[in-house]
Amino acid sequence: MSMHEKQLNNDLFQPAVRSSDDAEKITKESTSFWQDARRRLFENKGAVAGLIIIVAILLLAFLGPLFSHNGFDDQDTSRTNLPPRIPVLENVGFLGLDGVDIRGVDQYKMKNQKDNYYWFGTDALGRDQFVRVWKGTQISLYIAFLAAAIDMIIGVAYGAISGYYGGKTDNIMQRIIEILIGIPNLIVVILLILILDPGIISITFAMVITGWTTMARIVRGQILKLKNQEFVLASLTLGAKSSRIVTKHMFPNILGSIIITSMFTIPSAIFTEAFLSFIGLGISPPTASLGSLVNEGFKSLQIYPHLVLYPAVIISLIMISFNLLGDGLRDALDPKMRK
Amino acid sequence: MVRFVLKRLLYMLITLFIITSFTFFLMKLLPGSPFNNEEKLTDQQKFILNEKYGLNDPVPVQYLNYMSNLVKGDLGVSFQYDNRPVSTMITERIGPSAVLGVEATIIGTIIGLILGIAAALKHNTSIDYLSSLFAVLGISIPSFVFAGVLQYYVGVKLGWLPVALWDGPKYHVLPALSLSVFVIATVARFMRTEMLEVLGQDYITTAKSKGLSNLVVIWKHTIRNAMIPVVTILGPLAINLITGTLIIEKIFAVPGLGFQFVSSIQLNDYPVIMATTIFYSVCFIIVILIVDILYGVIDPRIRVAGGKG
Amino acid sequence: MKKSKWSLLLTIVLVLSVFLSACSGKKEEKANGNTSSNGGGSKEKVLNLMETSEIPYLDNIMADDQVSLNLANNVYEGLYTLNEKDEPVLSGAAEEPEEKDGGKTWVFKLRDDAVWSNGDPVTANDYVFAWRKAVSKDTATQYSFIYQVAGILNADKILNPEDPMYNKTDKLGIKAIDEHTIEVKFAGPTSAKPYLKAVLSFPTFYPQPEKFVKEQGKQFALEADKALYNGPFALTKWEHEKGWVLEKNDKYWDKKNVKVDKINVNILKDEATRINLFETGKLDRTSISAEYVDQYKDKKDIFSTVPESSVFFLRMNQKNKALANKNIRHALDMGWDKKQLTDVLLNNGSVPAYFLVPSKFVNGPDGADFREKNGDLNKGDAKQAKDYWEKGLKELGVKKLDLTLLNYDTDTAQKDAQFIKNQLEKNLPGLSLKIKAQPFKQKLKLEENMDYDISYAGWGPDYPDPMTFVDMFVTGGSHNEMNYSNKKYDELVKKASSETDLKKRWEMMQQAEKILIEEDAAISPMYQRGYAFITKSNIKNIHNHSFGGDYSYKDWDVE
Repeated sequence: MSMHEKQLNNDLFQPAVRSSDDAEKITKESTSFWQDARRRLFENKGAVAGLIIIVAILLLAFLGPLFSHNGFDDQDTSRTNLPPRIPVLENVGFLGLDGVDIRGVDQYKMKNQKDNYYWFGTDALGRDQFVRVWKGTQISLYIAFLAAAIDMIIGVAYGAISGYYGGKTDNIMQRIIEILIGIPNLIVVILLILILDPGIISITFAMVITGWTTMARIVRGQILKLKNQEFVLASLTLGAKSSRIVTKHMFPNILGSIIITSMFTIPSAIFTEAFLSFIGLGISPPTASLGSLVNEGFKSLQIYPHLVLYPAVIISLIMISFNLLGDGLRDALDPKMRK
Repeated sequence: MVRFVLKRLLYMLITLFIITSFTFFLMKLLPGSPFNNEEKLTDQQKFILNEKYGLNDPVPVQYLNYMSNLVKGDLGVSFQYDNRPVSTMITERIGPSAVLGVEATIIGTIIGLILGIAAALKHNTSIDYLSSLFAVLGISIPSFVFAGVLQYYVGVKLGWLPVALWDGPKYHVLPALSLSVFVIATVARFMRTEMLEVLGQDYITTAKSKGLSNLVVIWKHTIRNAMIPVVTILGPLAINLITGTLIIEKIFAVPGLGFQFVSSIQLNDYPVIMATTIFYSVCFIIVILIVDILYGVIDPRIRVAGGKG
Repeated sequence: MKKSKWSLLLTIVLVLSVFLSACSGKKEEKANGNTSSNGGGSKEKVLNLMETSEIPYLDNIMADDQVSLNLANNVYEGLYTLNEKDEPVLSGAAEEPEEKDGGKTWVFKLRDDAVWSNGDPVTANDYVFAWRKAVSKDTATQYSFIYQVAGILNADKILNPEDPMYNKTDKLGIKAIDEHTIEVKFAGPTSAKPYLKAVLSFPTFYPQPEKFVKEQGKQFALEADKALYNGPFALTKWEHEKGWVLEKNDKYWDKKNVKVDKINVNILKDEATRINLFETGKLDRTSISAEYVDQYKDKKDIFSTVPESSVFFLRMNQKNKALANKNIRHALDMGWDKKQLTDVLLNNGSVPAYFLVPSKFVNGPDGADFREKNGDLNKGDAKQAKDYWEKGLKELGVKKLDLTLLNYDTDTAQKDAQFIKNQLEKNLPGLSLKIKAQPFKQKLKLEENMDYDISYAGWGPDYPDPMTFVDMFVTGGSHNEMNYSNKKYDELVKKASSETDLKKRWEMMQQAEKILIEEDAAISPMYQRGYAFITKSNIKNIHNHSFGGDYSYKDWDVE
């Protein structure tokens, strides 16, 4: 006991010289929310892969047509409905890229096209499907971005306002959605055909009218769920403004749903575009989009599967990469996932 | 709650009135007459035909006539199909569409939930990737492509199931499966996202640390809380399927309502357009009401009925 | 915990029920062959056919579409019926009519063994009732005009809202002399209408059982048992939107010549579905489109093409200054390869058209086809087209032309239009042709308002005579719709419609066609439509009609 006291006396200690400023000092480099999000996005392998595929498809959409000496409307009835044939790969039997159709006939031989290679085959008018698919991708990508933008801008805002303010506002806004959904779309579209000239603007217009309702309803549902939760109440009692609560507190929490919902909007927009173009509101033929190529090719699914296969694969690829990127984005932007 | 529902039903009448009126006048703006061989009719014939169906009256008069008949429960008769009452036409055709829609919704929801939950619980494993891949394909490839492939391979090549037609339960499998692909994808996708969201919440950690079994945590705390978006989107999706899908019904020769609606608009069959619109709207509005009520059941903190805060 | 168990249980039950309902099913349907033994050993002959839409009208007077007309043609019967060569032969009438008033009145003796499916005899009164019903304003059938085509006395007045005789149906030129004799009066000499008997075979002229129709009131012909049948078959089952069943009518007077016992008709709107059903033996016959023709054309026992009498052509609206120029029109007509369109794109038995009146449609008084004399008109090539084009442009004083092609919103029409656009733009330098597809009704409206440049149009005959085509383009005619006017043409058409010298009449119509196409290039004919079919090889004696109902199943047989 005495030994102990002897060894530890006050002289052995000295007060540390430390200002209160130092306590607040952060040695690690500070990152903003967005910097942090970006870092996490690029750490996510899936998201990076998605991004690379999107860029690749974008490049191909614009450069792809240059690989072929055919224009997208170069018809030749002597080379109709040729199955795909790709140099080198044609020698690998199981790939089915040797120009032999499903009935086992070498169409290139039969139609005297032995020296030609159509990578994605040709259609009923003898047009090079490779060029058409990439030309179509351009249009479909535009439609995809457009649909996503409409969803993000109109749908999210509408749903957020409706859900957040609730009560009468919500009631009226939801009834308006019901009316918009209740009135048959096809009638509205046909009437649009009467007043608008076909083209990309009229498609945009047709989609603006009802394209965003699902998003609005999803966002509203989520906001309804969130607005009575503790952290929102806390923020309210601390005197935060509505706009701050919605954008800073609720928005990051519903981002996942928003991203997923827009993933649904995109393919449905791509096929809506195909339908609109078909009945005369969209881009007039011979220009094609991925959606219209699938619709057209589907008619001969059993005989010329290549006509539907390639555009469908590209749409799927676009969607898969968007989803990978979307998932990555969600993880990166979600404040709760922050480590 | 009863008051809330009654109030909403009253709103429904107002909404329906607006939808009906709008559709009526928009429909009258559509070009052309409701007659089959319009291109061959002479002016005299057009006059006689219009007279028979009361189409020579000014549109507002036609509107008033229609509305007063509607209040009496008379939906009118079809132009396309020889004076057949529109109400009979809908009741004749809704059966197959509804059966198919319900089957597809049930199959889709169950498989979708399983896939979505599995993907979330096994986040970033091959199960997750496979389920997500399937979901994305289900969203991006239209159901008619699946239908075509199923019909050809399962129906023709393998001969396991009937190619098409509507003659008993066997005939439901392929169309119901084709329709359910989109439902599966939707439910799986939303479920996964929301599950991941919920799994990160503090109360899950709390529940786990309390020593609750994994199953209880997942079932009671996670799934229920993750259901909001699924329910929001599933309601209208189910209504779309139940009221008939044009292409799937066409491919499998299902005698449903899907074709009727589209062709009535293309051919200006006014009474059929109106009746199907009203029918669809009623279904849709009721489902939205149910969804709003379900919000409260799923998450008692949500009150759609009340005002802000 | 309790609750979750329940949900789990519910889930399992649901999965199981779906699974079970999928697997059980009812007993396998009867063998799908065309012949199934029928108890005692006599073979029942069954046909499995399809239509693309529900029956719009079971009432033969209302019938105005292919499905209804075809049905009416098989379950009902009128004075005449068309045989396999499309010639009218006696059916409801017992003998050829006795002519009176210099051919302006025909007296028909009816068969006294013809009965309705409830056993009541088909009487003269049933004809009078039906014909009056057809021209009544309360019926307002779209085919009432066929009474004007036939020239039945007063039909045009009864159908004209401005005439004092409007809707006075008892003034129609038909009278029952006794139970089995009718007297039909015509407005003009019947000898000017060589096609009259064929027109009388049209379903709008069939009788209806007055008593039954009145009993049923609004319910008449809404269901299979709400109508009576006097034709070779009776409709015994009708499931709306799904299909129907025709069975041999054992009350039919000529039932010994009806070979098939039963016809199942399913509504199949999708082509791939039809082909898949055909492949699995559930369907005996279906039409196929270009894509599938390659697949089947070498199978000679099942593949066939059938020419039809519809002609498709490009209307050129002369309200457009450029299209008012004859050389431009000639250039547009010759500037593309019609043969490639029919052989490669349509690929279904359609033939290139250099004419308005289709081939193999009707024979003239000399027994020769209408086409034999006129042949192919304006059969030029790209080089000729270019010459015309340059001449036209010079006359117009322009170097470039922007035109729009109004089109249907159907798959085939869109493909055809893209082909024509591509060809024309290649062969006629300076031309830019924009394709404008529109929903059907809107397209008709634009044509009616003459608010288009060029339009993809078609015409099928209403009665078996070239006049149904030729009189379309008279000045101010309601089907002209392109501001075409040629005095010489008008004159010829007018004269031909009242000419009783059949040979002269024939030549006038041929001359008119020549003016329309060769001289004026008013339209650019595209093709005469054909259909490609695949049919089970054991089905025999199939033929189709060029107007009215498509088929007479009475003659079909199953081996």
